[in-house]
Amino acid sequence: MDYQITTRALDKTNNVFFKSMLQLIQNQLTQKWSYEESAHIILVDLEQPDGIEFWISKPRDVFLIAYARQNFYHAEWFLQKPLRIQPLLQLLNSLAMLQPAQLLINSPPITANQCPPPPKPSSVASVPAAALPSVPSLFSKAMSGTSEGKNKYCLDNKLEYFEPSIYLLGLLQESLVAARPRRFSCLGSAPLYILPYENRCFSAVTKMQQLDSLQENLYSSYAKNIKVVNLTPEELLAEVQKNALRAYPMDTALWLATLRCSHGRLILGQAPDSVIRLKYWPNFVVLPHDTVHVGLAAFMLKNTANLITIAQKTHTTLETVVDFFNSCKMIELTIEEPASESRLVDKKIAEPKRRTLKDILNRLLR
Amino acid sequence: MLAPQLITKLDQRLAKLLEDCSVINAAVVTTADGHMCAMRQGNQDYPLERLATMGSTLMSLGDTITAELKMGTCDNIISENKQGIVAFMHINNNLVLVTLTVQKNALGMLLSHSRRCAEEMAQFV
Amino acid sequence: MSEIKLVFTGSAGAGKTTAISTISEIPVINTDVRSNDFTTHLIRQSIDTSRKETITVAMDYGELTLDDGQKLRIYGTPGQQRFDYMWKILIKGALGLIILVDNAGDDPVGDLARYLDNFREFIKETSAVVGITRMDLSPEPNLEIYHEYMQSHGIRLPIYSVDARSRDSVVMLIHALVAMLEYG
Repeated sequence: MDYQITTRALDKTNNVFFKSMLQLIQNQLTQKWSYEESAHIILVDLEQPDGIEFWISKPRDVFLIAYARQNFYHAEWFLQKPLRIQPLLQLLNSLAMLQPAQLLINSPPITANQCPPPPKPSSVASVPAAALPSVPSLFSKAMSGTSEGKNKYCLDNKLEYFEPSIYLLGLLQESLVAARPRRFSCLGSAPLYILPYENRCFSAVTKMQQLDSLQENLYSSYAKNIKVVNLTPEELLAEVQKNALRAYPMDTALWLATLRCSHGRLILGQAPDSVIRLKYWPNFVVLPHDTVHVGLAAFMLKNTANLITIAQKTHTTLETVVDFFNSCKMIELTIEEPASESRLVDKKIAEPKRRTLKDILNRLLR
Repeated sequence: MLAPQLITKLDQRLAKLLEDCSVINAAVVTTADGHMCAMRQGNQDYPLERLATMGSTLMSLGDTITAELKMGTCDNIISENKQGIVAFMHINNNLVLVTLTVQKNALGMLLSHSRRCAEEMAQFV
Repeated sequence: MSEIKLVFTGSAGAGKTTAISTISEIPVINTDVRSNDFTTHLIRQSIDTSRKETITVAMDYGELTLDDGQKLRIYGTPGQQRFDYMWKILIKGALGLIILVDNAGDDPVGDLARYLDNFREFIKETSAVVGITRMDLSPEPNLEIYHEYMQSHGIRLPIYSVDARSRDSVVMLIHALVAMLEYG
């Protein structure tokens, strides 16, 4: 069967590169693929405003593949920048395994009630994120905003909340309440073992901070896609020893399971207007994080403010703030106070000093 | 820390220093890490514990500077001030002698007596 | 800005000199001398060979060149209270303060309290971050105890368990410090 593919919002260089690479890998593809100006299968650059706009408009009768440095949208089909041969090859061969009808329809988000497509064998970061949950509308809307539009923060109660019970997080919480040692596994990911009475968990992952997309699957999966096995403490510890698993605090698993699933939605039961501060500094040694989270922690440690104010003052997207807040709340790092208790430290930092601080950090993080 | 007998000997030698050279108003022996071993002063009330610690800091800085400049070992550090002079010098690797005078024109006497004292102390330490 | 400098302070043996050496691009200039402070620690020393036998009596000094050619100057203070005059000298004009506390010391929480108190004015004006070292050798007090201490004294600063020999640990501390200076 012949497949046709086109691109959307790729800049000229990327587009030329894509076309050349497609030619180059022709003899390694299981089906014939050709680039056309117009096609049903479209590779969309989600780092370009045009691409984002196109993506969220959810056009009908097309099959979209997200193209970006990271799969921010948790798109079902994703190709990581920069363009490389192996991931592209893998992607196209995986697509060729789908039923033709599946390729000609719009790719709707998977809902909790739908079975995800079977996971594709892969070991690289650009595999289709088959078992990943859908992206809620709040997240998509916010991602479409330009940087100038970031001051238009809103928290709409009508938008869906983050419901832990349908994700790994719910399973972890339930296991902690029941104090049951368990193993959680999801196709392709290293299993997670929890030992509630020791408040510890175990995994073969050596650096939780640098999970690849396969390992991430477990933490962002729906509960229904996760296999749960009850173990006795002895069985669990035997598996830990046999597989030389690494121990982490339980907070690591709770934090990660929240951060990867909340997608900018406030955790269920959380009032969007409450003012919040951190009880103490998050132990980032064991809590996987991005640079932006360190800034948020600093602000929330010293200031008591609502989520919108936090986002504005730290120049961070509201979705990131919400995800960070949910994760902190899950490990009981947050203190909520009445709205009247909002307190902001009057801190003005001179621009040269800000630049110097950035320079220091850039130099050290390089 | 040093043995009590040794501290007594250091103290006696400091007493002799102040007797021999009346322009010296106070003298301190300190370890290189800032612990005072012995001290003597005339009628003044200098904070000699503090001076001992600072003496170790300054001597160490002097050693660091001379090593950095490849100038050999640091013999003395002299602080000439509006109201007097303070001299710092090694007794050995582990001990420092700090002496001071309030007479601005007594640098030579301060240094020569202090140096002799340090050398004698080095003999019995 | 006349000088860009960070200051490491904290208890003796917490690893200030070592921490500076992990990020300095020049060999650290130090003023270490053999210590007489360990007479009371002889028993511990016999089982703890990692404890250093020298102490810094003036300062440590390291440098890092930033992308625009400016130098970040990194100073380490002596640890012992008797050298507190050096703390005052070195902290002048610093961007921020990193406090390292040796968890295997006799009274680590007391040590932290002492440094927080001595640098109170500076911390109020700028910021600081706390790194607890040698927790692998001495897990108690745990971080919770430090959190409780800081909370009960209304002190809101980042605190980590760190390995002073690890560049990642030191960078993590400075990252938190920079975030506090900017947003905290």
